[in-house]
Amino acid sequence: MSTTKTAFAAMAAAAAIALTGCGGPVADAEAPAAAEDATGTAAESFSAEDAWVKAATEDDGMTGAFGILGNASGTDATVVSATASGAGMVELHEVVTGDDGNSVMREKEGGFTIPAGGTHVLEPGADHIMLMALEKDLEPGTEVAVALEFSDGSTAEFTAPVKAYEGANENYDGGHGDGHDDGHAEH
Amino acid sequence: MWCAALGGVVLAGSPAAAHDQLIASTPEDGERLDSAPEDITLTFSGDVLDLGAAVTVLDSGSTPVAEGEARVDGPDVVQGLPPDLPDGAYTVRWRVVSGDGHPISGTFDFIAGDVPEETDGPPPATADGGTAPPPPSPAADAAASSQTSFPVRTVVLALLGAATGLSVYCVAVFAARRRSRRAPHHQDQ
Amino acid sequence: MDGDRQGSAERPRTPFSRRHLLLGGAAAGLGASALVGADLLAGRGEPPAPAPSPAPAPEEPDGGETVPFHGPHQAGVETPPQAHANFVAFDLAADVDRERTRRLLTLLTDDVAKLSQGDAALADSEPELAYVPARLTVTFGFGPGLVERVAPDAAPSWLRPLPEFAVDRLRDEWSDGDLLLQVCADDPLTVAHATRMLTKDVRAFGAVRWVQAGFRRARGSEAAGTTMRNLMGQVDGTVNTAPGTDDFERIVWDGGGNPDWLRGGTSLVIRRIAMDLDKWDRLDRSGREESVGRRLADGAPLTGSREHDEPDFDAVTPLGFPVIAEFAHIRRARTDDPAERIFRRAYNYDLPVTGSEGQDAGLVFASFQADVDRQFVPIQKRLDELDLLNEWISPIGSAVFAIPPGCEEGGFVGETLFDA
Repeated sequence: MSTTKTAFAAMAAAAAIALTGCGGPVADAEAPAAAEDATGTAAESFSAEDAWVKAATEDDGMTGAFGILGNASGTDATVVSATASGAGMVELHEVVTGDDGNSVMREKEGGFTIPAGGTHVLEPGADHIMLMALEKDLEPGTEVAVALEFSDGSTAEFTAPVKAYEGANENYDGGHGDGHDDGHAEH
Repeated sequence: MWCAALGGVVLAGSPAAAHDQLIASTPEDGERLDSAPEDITLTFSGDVLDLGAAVTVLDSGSTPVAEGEARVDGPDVVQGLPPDLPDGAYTVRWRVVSGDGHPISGTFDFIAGDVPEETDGPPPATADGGTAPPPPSPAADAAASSQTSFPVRTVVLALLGAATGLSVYCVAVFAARRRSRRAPHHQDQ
Repeated sequence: MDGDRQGSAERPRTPFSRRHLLLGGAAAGLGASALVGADLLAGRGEPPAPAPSPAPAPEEPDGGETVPFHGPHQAGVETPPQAHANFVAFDLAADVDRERTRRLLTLLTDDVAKLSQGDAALADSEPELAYVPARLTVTFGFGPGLVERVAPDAAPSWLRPLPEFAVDRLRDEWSDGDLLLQVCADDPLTVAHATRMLTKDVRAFGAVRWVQAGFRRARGSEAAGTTMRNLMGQVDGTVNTAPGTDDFERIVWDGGGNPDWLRGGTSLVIRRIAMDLDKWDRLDRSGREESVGRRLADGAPLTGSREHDEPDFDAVTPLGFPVIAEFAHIRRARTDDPAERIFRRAYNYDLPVTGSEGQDAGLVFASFQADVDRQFVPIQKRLDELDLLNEWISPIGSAVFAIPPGCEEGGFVGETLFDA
């Protein structure tokens, strides 16, 4: 038996970071995550950890993908678009407080920026990858392949297991609605 | 606290009241019969458990003439005897499980036929075919003595003894406390 | 932590007054004995065993301790029993086939791998609750229904309900199940959180059939390795094989006759044993001790002086009856057949009751053994035939599970069944 110091350190640091997984990456980036090399592509320095997709049915129509995006390079990386297996349309979303004080989600202009040598957390109630026009049920325990395109044109792919999850029901500021709940679930 | 301790003593003095008791037997304790009976019947104050009832009958030479599991029928426990038992003094040893689950045991004697009454007491209790000597066992002692009634005299003596013991203990603790107040730690506990 | 220090500073006070009570009772008993020549209080009058001196306050809270998840055996078998447990059995939905079972086990494995190391599970709604692993282990058990779905021909012969016993008062709501998760930790909040996360994983695949919550002494309340006590006050489990010994290997892990996929695995029998504590209250101390054959104070056999003394089954009372009666629990549980041994890892249960009902309390009897039929059943048969303890206890639930081996990183618990 060992003492998990990391967990306690994480607890202190994790006020805002809900997904502080310390395990190995669940999903591998297509490219190796070594490059300190400034000439490498963004994809080569990319990693995804603790990625998951909220289970949804085809009728639900939409859901979200979450996880920790990592960038091992010395320069910021920007995700500008994404695709995902089983989803006809994929957008990069953020959750903001709307004019009426309620939180709403909307497409994030300029995409997600992963700072040099850092991470960008995708989580319910914050930035996430929005999967829409679902072509099939995304059942718990299955996997979704997600591909990201970076501003330099490179792409990286990772897989994310589907998990049952009741949260992540933010209103969509685009008239789509969530389809199956009254959610104003900003936690 | 003292009251609780004292109460414990009083309760401990009367456990037998909770169990069934042997209220009658055929033959009775000390009875003289013309000849040996066909069986031994013990009657208890309540239904005993049909589980583990054992009755051993020893002759005057401490040799078992009947032993082992006995038949339970409500409050009655019956142990058959071999036919044509010779005349003589016999000792019955029994153990049953009282209706409340407490094993109880006891012993009594009878005489079959016209034999001189040599002694008042039963054969030596250590007999049992001359095997293992009884080990020191508080539980066994308690069981063996559970048939003993507790006359008022015993209870009074117990209470007096308890009071004396508590007094001694009180004084000792008081002294110890005074000492311990000077010594802040009780690590030796 | 502050709380810890406070706890140890206060610690002497409570045992001290209890000691007074006991010693006062002893003094009273000695006085009484001296006058009437009785020995009724022997055994109770002995001073209590000295409490172990409090360990120096650990630098880090105990809650940070973890038990490795990956390995040849699943955790939660050899692991020194944690203070709290939830045994959760699930019924799998009819449409859960081999492939969906694999998905479920993969999800559960991933969650347990994280939670047991103090990390939040994926999609953990309350991640902060995961940061105190408190030696969390989750042990997977497969009922006949799960094995049937994955590899119908791979079920060990003993994977079925136990034979009926006369003492059984089994209730469906405490029996059987397709999948078991034994969730154990030293912290009840950790157990609750892990149970909830894992139960949410299963929802899409099945439903909870029963949950049996159990507890032992809190961590640190007594010296590690102390034999547990049950709610009848008995020292329960003195004769138990010790993890790490050859004996344990043979009893728990050596499934020579088991299918290959169970190599590194074992079996688990869970019996919910209800105790009639009100009836037990009516039995005095010596009666309680005779029903088991051990002393309440220290668990020593009635023929011995220390807990681990070997009972002398030949010893007789002055009247010639066995000191440890034919019907005493330890005599009935004992066997000369070395094959008939099991490893117990039980927990107490005590459910809230209202009004004037009695008490809904007892034991979640959990026993690991390589072969249920060869090791467990013969013992239970003897106890069924004759055991005075049956006056106060009745089995009200019963379930048998195959415990698959552990997995390595990247694998999942139960993967060997898919290769079977």
